[in-house]
Amino acid sequence: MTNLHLEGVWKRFGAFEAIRNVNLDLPSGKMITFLGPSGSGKSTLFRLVSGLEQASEGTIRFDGIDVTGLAAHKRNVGMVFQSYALFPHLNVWENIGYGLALRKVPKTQRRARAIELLELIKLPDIADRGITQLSGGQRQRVAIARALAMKPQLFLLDEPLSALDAKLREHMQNELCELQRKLGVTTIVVTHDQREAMTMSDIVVVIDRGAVQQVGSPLDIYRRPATRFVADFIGTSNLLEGTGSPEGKFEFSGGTLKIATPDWLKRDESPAVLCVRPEQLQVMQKADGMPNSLDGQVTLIRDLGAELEVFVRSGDTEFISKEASGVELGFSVGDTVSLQIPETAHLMAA
Amino acid sequence: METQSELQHASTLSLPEISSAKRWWWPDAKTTILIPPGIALIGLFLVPFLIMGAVSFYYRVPDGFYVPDFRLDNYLLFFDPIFLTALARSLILCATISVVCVSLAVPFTYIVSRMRRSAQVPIVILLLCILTLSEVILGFSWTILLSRTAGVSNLLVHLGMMDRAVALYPSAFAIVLAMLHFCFPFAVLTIYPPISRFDKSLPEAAATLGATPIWAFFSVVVPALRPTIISALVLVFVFALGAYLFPQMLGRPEDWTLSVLITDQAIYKSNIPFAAAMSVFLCIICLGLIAGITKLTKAKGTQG
Amino acid sequence: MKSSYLTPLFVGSIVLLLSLPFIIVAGVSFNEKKRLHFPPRGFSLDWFGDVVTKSEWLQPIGTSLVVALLATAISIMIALPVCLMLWRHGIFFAKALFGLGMVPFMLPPVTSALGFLIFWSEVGAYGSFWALILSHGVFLVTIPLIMISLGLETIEKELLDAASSLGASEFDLFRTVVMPLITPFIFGSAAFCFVLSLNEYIIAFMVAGFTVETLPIKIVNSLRYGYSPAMAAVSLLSVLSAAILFAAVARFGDLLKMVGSLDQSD
Repeated sequence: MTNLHLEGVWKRFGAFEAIRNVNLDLPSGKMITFLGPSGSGKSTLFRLVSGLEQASEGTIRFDGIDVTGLAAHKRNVGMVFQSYALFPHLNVWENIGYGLALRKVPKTQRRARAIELLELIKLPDIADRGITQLSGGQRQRVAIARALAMKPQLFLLDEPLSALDAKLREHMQNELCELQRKLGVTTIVVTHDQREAMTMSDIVVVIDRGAVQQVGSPLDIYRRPATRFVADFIGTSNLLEGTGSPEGKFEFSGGTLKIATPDWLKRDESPAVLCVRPEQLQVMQKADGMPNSLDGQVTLIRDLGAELEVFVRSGDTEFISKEASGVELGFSVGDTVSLQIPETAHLMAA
Repeated sequence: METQSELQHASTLSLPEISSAKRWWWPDAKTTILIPPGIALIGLFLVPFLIMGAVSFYYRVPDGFYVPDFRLDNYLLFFDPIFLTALARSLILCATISVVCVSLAVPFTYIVSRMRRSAQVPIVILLLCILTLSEVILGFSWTILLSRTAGVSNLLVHLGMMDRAVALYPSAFAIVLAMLHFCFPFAVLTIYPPISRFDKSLPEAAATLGATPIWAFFSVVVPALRPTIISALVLVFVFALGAYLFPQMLGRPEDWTLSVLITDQAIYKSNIPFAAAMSVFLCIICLGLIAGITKLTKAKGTQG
Repeated sequence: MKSSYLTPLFVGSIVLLLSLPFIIVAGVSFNEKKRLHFPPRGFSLDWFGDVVTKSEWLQPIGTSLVVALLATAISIMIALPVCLMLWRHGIFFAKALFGLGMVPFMLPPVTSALGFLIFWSEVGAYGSFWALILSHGVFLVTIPLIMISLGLETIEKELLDAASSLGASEFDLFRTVVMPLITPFIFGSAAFCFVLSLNEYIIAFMVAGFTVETLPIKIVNSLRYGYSPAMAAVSLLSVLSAAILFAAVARFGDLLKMVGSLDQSD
């Protein structure tokens, strides 16, 4: 088990700053995801951790040991790639035993270790098969087994599930989590899929434009996004721009709302963004005098089966709300309704 | 654990810096590996061409030798009618060969590249055989094929289309046939990569709009492959310019091309400076054409 | 609908025309008497017997085989480092050498042959066996340059990353991943070079035509003294050995990919 520590890490490609001053302290034995849109720098950060790229500046430590200048082949990381990157000229067990072969481990031991890993990934009978004979899901597992064969300090997976179909992906997510818990190895998964990040990880590192936006548990990040980007990227949210004041008020173009004062807003009034998750927002038949509510007009109701999405226009803002399906709504498209905003809605610094 | 200790080592290790003590003129490991190939390619290929270029300005001693000099005599020989007719003949012959080969090769390659792999492989093997056999064996084969005793004219007599067998060579026609045979595989293999990559959905889209396959081929495939076809025309032309044995084996001296003239001057007339001058001229034509076409297709490529 | 029988007819007739000279040569080689007739008169394998027993033919065949083998080895030894350095590190010098290595196939072979002729006479090695081998080796370098590069292009970068993450040093990468994956391409280009050198005439003739007798030189020389079915037999053997070699390459590697097809369906 290894904890990972990054301090002031920068990566530049010419004039382009791919990674900008990243500081991270990730505990050992956890399932961690690097989450971000494509081009956010998450893959670069991942490559810096693996040693496939070298940082332009800063320090990377595994368990307190400085590995900054070390190339990938000296870092003892196990990696799984998007394309699986299985060696086409080797069969399954030779692929798994590749790293051991480089360390001159005798063939019988290599094979024994490969079989052991194949049992771990629940594919005990394919040791002698060629790579081309495997299905996508099987290749994925063999790639995982190969990465784990050397008992790596860090287990790194780059978009590991993106090539699988939806059904298999969900299954593999669970299996990967189970495997990680069983082995207790510190694991980092790179993904652009926020659902995947939310369901799989203990810790999510949200990355955008080369910088870490937020680090926290999935729930934490969902409930209390640190920046507008995070709120927008993870889940759906209604974002209102305005001004927050220390006495628990939020003023914006549509009116004034009463909001629980966040820690950062203890002194002066300052520009803020209010994040209201669709399930926090309640749409009701119009009634006057309701506290913390806005008037709006229903523009669209979408029935998704499990839930309903209600779109309401209030002023120049379009709100989205989620309601349980099968419940009598009491309003329809075109009706004027009240939008109830809870005091617990999350207020961020703009 | 072993790796653990390795990592600990690392922290005490200083990063490899480019030490100032390193001799600046000393090549790094990557460049060192390239020294033997560099010596081979520069010393044994570039240098011979440069020497040839120099020799083309040398003075030819009448007894068959040459001495260093700088004179344009050898280039002035270009105005000799023998050279000019050989040049014109070469250009016309190679242009014809190029046009015929490419116009046959484009549909041929297109069809073949869409066949099963197991059907493609024997065809590719046949093409490679022809391409690698050189003019000696091909030329010999054609002399037999066009001969009186064993050639196709026997077949025509058999079919009653001719009265008696005749030799169809030496003739310009024989040269054309042999060169088509030799250049066709080259044309196919030149256009094979781009055609095999060609998007199949385009002609399919045309077919859904009611185009017959042949119409789809000419209206969709050929225009889309225009840069490929143009560069193939040039490459086959240059390739054909290299033929030197067919004109000798299958033609008469009045059918000789520039390549034959060069060999003739160099070996039998011992006029190496003149041969060198003609070579330089030929090289410039070929490299100029290829450079031009590369530039043209690249410019097209960046546009879309 | 029309094209359903037109296309096989088109391809079939071109393939037939391309093979026609070889069919006739094969037929002629079976003649019993020393006359070239087609269809052959009588049937005899004597001419093949001559080719594989008489030193008149065996000697040039042996010479050509040795030249081709060594020239192929030289060609690949020149091309491999250039391709590797260009692909892995994009070194400018490698790029320049690659470009230079393309030139032999852009020029009529006569010009290269004359260049070699002048060069080797200046050096004083005109007519020597090694001058011929080196000339062939350098001249043919275009083939391995192109084919090995094609092979390297097929290697996914992630494979190398995977190997690095499993502890492979730069040398290990080359030994355990790159080499095994490009070996078919190296053999493919070797087969190509070998057959090309075996049949090459003009350079052999201009560099050492009067001292080293290769098979093509022997054939051309014999043509001057009249035809014999033995020449047809030796030609047929050349064609067949080339075909067998290429078929072997196709058996052990992906021949279509080697000639540049990117239409991958395996």
